Amino acid sequence: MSGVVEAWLLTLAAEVPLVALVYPGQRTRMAAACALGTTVTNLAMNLALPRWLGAGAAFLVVGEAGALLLEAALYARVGRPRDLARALVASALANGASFAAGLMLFPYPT
Amino acid sequence: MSGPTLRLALVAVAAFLPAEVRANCARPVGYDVSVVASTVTVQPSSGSPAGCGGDVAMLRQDVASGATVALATWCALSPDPYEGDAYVDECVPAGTYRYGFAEPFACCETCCGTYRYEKVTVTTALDPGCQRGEGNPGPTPVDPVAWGVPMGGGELICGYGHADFTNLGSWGCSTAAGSGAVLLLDAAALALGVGLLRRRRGARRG
Repeated sequence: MSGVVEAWLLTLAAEVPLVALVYPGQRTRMAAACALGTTVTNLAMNLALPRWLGAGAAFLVVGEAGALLLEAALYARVGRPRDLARALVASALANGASFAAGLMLFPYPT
Repeated sequence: MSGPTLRLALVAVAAFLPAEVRANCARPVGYDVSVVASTVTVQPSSGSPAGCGGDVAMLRQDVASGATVALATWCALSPDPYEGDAYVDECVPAGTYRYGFAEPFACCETCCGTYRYEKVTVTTALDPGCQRGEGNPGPTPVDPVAWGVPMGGGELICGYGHADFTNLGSWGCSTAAGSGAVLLLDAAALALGVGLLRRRRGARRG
């Protein structure tokens, strides 16, 4: 399995349950939104962004910051009622957890 | 999402984007490796004459043990006149290996990555009677190289642009600052969100 697919699956596994947890009463809806949003941001980050920014710290920070903000925006838009604070919490929790999981599982290329 | 929120998100993302957005990058610098049974062919791909028969040794490292050998000068002509000749490594036991020059390529900033080694897996069990080509002395053991270990030299030497990891693993110390910044950003966003939720609850009680 390619590293990109592994990273995408790991991200989904880490983020979808956490986002669902932050939205009791609309877990299925938010889990679906998370799966969709995370797929777009994760694949864009790993497949497109390196072409512009290389593979260094700038790529990492820009990609993760973009994912955090765009996913928060998505959750704020899809959640009922619309709530930016809760969306920010959900996105920060999910992205922080998936990033930490990635650091632990893929510390360096082999 | 409301209009102002969308604008805020776009402005925040745009603030992080580089001033110079680059076009598509050139062919990566690295190695094209192919396996047929127990024979591995390593074609350096750098747009230069560097290749089999040159001054720099081509190494093969066993991923499992770290044991490293220098390949013999046993070559195959490159089909590309702009590339050096390929190394042919015969009678390679089954296993996963890294192939790369003892001296890594210089970073090519306009290429889609510059690679230190290429990893390949030989799945065919080595025939005990495997014979190398006449005149091929076979590989020579050398000191193990620090490939694929933290701080020792990751697969990527440098990415497109200016991310140069010549002396570092691409996920080693070179990205420690970036990783810290990402975790800090996530923590700040979490604190902001929790703070907003608390303030709203406090206002409701008041």
